[in-house]
Amino acid sequence: MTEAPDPGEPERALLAAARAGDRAAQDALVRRYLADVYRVTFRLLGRRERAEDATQDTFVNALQALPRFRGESSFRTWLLRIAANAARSQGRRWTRSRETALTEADGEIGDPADPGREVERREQLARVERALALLPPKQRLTVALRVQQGLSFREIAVLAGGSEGAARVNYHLGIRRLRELLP
Amino acid sequence: MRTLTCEQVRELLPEHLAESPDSSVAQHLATCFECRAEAKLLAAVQGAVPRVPAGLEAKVLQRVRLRPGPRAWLGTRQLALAATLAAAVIGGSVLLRSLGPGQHRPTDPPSAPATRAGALPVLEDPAVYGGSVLSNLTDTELESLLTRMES
Repeated sequence: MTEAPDPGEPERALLAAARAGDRAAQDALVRRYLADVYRVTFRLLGRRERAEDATQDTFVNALQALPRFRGESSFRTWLLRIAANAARSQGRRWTRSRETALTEADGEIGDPADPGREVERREQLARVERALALLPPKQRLTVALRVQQGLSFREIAVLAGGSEGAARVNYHLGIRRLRELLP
Repeated sequence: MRTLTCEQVRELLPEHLAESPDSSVAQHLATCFECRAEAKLLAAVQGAVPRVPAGLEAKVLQRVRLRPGPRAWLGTRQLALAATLAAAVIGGSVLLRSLGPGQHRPTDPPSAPATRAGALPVLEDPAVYGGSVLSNLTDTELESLLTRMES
């Protein structure tokens, strides 16, 4: 899960083309990492429209900064760090509304052929979303990055700007709290 | 098959559940209630992945296409740098002429490296002088610069 979602085109060639100004390559990078970026910004902001704005800012900033990407971390980690910064900028512009966030959270496409199961699935989803929303931001982000995005603690540390140890602690505290909230 | 501790199993759970089922982890889960409970919790969290809103891809692509490309951005920066240097050189020569040939002080500093053909100067503030020094910055410094430019 730590690799790019679509490994069809070699990452290095795609980055080189995008860096050289190839718009098709830049579009391909957007498509490849859109879901990752949106999920991180959504976890940080909790509201769909703000996460959408932050996602747009992320790609604009990242493509602008692409000539300076040196490959010291993976491109995905570098990009998600920009996403986290864009979300923080959005967060400063808006006051977060947790109640609205909970109703806007959505999961993957369910099973419309079985309405009963779909209702059950959505209820479970809402319970998880409520529990995640109650975690402190660092714990919420760390749990989401580790469990939903499959990032290692080292990658999370690079992304969040802290140490690997701090990422582990935040993760374990977050999981412990979730176990209390979702018995 | 390895025998794993609870700590090792919990470290491996996200990958075990998502994409790489591990037989040693599965064996441990069959006998450990605590780790099984954590696996159930993580599976629920994995199932709550936010769905990307319809139309977001089109919005992002449109925004991205409206911005100048990286080369154009660097070109603009370098153009600004060249204009600054030209102004400095012209201003300096005007000043020297106004002083006259006999008033040139022997303690004047040597010519700046910027005046050498094809060389760019080492300047202090990348936020002011732009692309020529950006490549020397670390990722952290770049992030900071990006934030300053946005604000």
